[in-house]
Amino acid sequence: MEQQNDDLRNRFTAWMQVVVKRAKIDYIRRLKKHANEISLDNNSVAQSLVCEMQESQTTDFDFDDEILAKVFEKLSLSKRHVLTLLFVHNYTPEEVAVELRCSIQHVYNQRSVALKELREHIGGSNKNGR
Amino acid sequence: MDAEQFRLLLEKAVSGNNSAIEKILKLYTPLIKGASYIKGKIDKDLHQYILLHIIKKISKFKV
Repeated sequence: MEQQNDDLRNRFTAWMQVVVKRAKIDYIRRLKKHANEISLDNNSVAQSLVCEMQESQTTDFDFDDEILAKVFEKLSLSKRHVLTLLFVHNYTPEEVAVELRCSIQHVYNQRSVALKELREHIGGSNKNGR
Repeated sequence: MDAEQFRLLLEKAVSGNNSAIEKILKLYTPLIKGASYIKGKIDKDLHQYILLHIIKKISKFKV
């Protein structure tokens, strides 16, 4: 009887070792799985992907100026998205930064570069049109 | 704890008795803590995960 109980204890200890080992393997596997997921917080590629995904939802408005509309289409998706959020949805740069999960400075930079490009393109279009 | 006491405790734990499970977990704390290290540091999440795993699985042990 005593021998049987000792066997039971040994058997349970072995069982516990297996269960603990499996739990640890499973935990580490889950950790690695989550590590492979792309973090949206500090990843510019991910930010531009988010912009592309949301782009279709953000250009559903009409431009009064046909030239502006054509020139706007020439901008990159991320710049279009920033301008749309700023000037169509009337977001503040801080809100845009939160929406796109990027820095406020990035929003300001995108805005100024996009506006500059728009001006250049409009200037070019006007010259070509004449 | 002698072997007979351990058998009774284990039977209770397997049948779902919470205090018995707690005692079993305390008995095996060195084993559980020893497995809770990642890169030389104890990982509290892993420790919790192992405890939960044991609690889930203990009813399947055949006494």
